[in-house]
This record gives sequence, C-alpha cells and structure tokens, in this order.
Amino acid sequence: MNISLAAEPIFYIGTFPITNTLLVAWVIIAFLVTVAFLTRKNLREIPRGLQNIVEIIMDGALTFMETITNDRKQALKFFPIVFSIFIFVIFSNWIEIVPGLGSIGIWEEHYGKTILIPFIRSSSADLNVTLAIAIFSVISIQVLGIISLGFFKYAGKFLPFGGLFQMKKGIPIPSFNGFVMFTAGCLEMVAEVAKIVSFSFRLFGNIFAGEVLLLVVSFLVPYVVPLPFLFLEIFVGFIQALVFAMLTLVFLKMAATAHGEEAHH
Amino acid sequence: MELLQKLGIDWRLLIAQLVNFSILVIILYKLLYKPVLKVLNDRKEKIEQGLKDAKSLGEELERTKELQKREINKAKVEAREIIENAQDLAEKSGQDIKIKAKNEVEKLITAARTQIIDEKEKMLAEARKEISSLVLDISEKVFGKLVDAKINQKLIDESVKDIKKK
Repeated sequence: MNISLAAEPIFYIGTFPITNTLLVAWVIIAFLVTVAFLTRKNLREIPRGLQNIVEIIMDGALTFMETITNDRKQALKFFPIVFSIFIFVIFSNWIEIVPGLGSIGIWEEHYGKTILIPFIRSSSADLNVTLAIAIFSVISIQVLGIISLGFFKYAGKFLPFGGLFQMKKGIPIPSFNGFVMFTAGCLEMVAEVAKIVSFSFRLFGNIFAGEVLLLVVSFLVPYVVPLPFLFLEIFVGFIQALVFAMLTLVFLKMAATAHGEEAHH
Repeated sequence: MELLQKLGIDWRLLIAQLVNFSILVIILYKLLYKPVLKVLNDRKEKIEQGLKDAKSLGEELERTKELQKREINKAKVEAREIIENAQDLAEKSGQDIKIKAKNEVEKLITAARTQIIDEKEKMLAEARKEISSLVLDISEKVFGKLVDAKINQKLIDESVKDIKKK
C-alpha cells in the first residue's frame, strides 16, 4: 500500500505530467459537458427525461441560493459560479466511491521500490485541483465585487483612506477611528488570501483523508466493513461540495454589499 | 517551495486545472445554465400569466352569471306582465263574446217565438176554417133540408163566431 500526498503522474507529455487526478478531472468535465449538451439538444418547454432531473437540481439550487442572497437577481448572477463549483466538486468528491480506487493501476519503479500507480484518484484529493477551484472562487469574488460596487468603492473596503483624517476647521487631523478602520481593511485584504488557503486545504484534507480511510479499511477488511465508510464518504463528499459552494456564495454576497449597507442589517 | 512540492503542488498542473475548470464554467453557462434557466423562467411566467388569466376569466364568468340572472329576472317580470295582460284581455273578450252570444240567442229565441206564434195563428186559422167546413158538412148531413139555406147560413155564421170567440 502506497499513500502519496501528491497526485501520481501516469505518463508524461514532454515534461508535463499527466496525473491521475487530471485524467479524472477531464472525465468529469467530459461527463458534465455531455449532460449539458444532451439537455441543450432536447430542451423543450414541457420537460422530459434528463431535462426533468437537470431542472429539478438547478431550480432547487437556485431557490436555495435565493434564500441566502434574499435577492433573485443576485442569485441568478452568482448561479453560474456557485453551481459550477458545487457540481464539479461533488462529482470529484464522489469519484472516491468508485470501485477500483487505489487498486487498479500500473506498477512502476519508484526510487527503487515497485509501487502501484492507481488510475482513479478523486480529483479533490489533489491540492492542484482544490487550489485551482479556490483561486477561481476568490478571483470571481473580487471581480463580481468590483462589478457590483465599482472599482474605487470596492477597493475602499480594503484601503479605507477616507476615514484616516478628519477635517476640523479646514485642517486635516489624524483620526484614531479612521486608523482602526484602515488596519481592519488591511486585515480583510489578508483574509481574502486566507480564503484561498482555507478553501483548498479544507476540501483537500477531507477528501484525501476519506480516500486514505477507504483504502486502509478495505485493505484491512475487504468485505462488508468498508460499506458504512462508503456511505460516510458519500455524505462527506456532499457536505464538502455544499460548504465550498455556500462559502463562495456568502463571500460573493459580502463582496457585492457595500460597507455602509452591511452595517444597517 | 520545497513544501509546495511535497504537497504535490505543481504550477503547470495548477494552471491546467484552473483553465479546465474555467472552460467547464463557460461551457456550462452557455450550454446549460442560460437555456435551462430561460426555459424555467419562461415557464414560470407562463404559469403566472395562466393563473392570472384564469382568475380574470373566473371574474368575467361571475359577472356574466350575475348579468344573466338579472336578465332572467327581468324577463320573468316581463313575462308575468304579459300573461296578466293576456288574462285580462281574454277575460274581457270572453265576456264580450258571452254577451254577444246571449244577445244572439235572445234574438233567435224571440224570432222563434214570433214564428211559433205566427204559425200557431196560421194553424188556428186553418183549423178554424177546416172545422167550420166540417161542422157545416156534418150539420148539413144531420139536419138535411130541415133548415133552409137562409137559416143555415145564419147558423153557420153564429157557430163560426162562437168558435172564433173561443
């Protein structure tokens, strides 16, 4: 049994490693695009078959998002980002349930040892993937924040120069309040970067741990005993996808809300 | 840097995944979210419109029913009036007819009566003539030539007078 923190490269194109998680991500993307294409092709006003399922999931997600944003327009605006994250993350989480995880692969010489390189590895169990989604999420938070508030108002959230000096009889006097606000704004800037780290490591940690758990349990007792753990991993996979998407949504909502408005709530 | 490598972070893979995911989002947006959400929205609007239409139709129906009811009531009242008028008219014309008939009948009766009286008179006159001639015949046979013609004539006249008196 070999447990590697990093995703294992199956082959190389030039020096570019094609890892098992990259392959799985491609499979997921191909699957989602196929579903989308089929739905688009047979789209009709009275839904049938696949369209029903897609509509139920999308409408449910949209309604749920509406309860969080309290604004249908905003929910519609955030929908593509939040829903894509959710659907991609949940599928990449659930890949770990697929039989053959960590057991089907190719044997390779590695530092003098022969180890198994599995074909299937949940793409969420690769920091590259979780980091990529986290970066995507945080970038879209900034972009949508700028779009809804305007660049200077949005930047003012992080660098509130305005309150630094108070005018008294035409002379600017440094204000303690303004200084505190400025420091808090700088801290918020750090928090934006911290979001990337917390997003990616939360998902990676959960799913990687789940994979290791499943691997170890099925190594120790191959029959029946892994079942409850499989169910647990289905649950964890769903919860992690939900957490990722919901946190993105909440951050989007916060970014699209001006400071003054926030105080009124 | 070594830490990142130990965690398996490779900037080439990272960028690849980021590009992959971005492409996925764009494709899903174009292919799935936009059309499906549009369909959902259109359907919602259609249902709302349908409900609104149904509501207004129901109100229209209610109003029509009310109108109908009023019309029917009006018609009922009118019909009653017409019937009453007709009844009055019928009664009147009936009475007229009755009176006319009565008059006619009375006229007929009087006519009949006068006719009967005339007939009776005629009959009586004829009978008298017959009887007197009969009497004359009989008396001639009975009395023969006992009485002369003069007396005879006188007797006849007297008897006729008598009969006439009666």
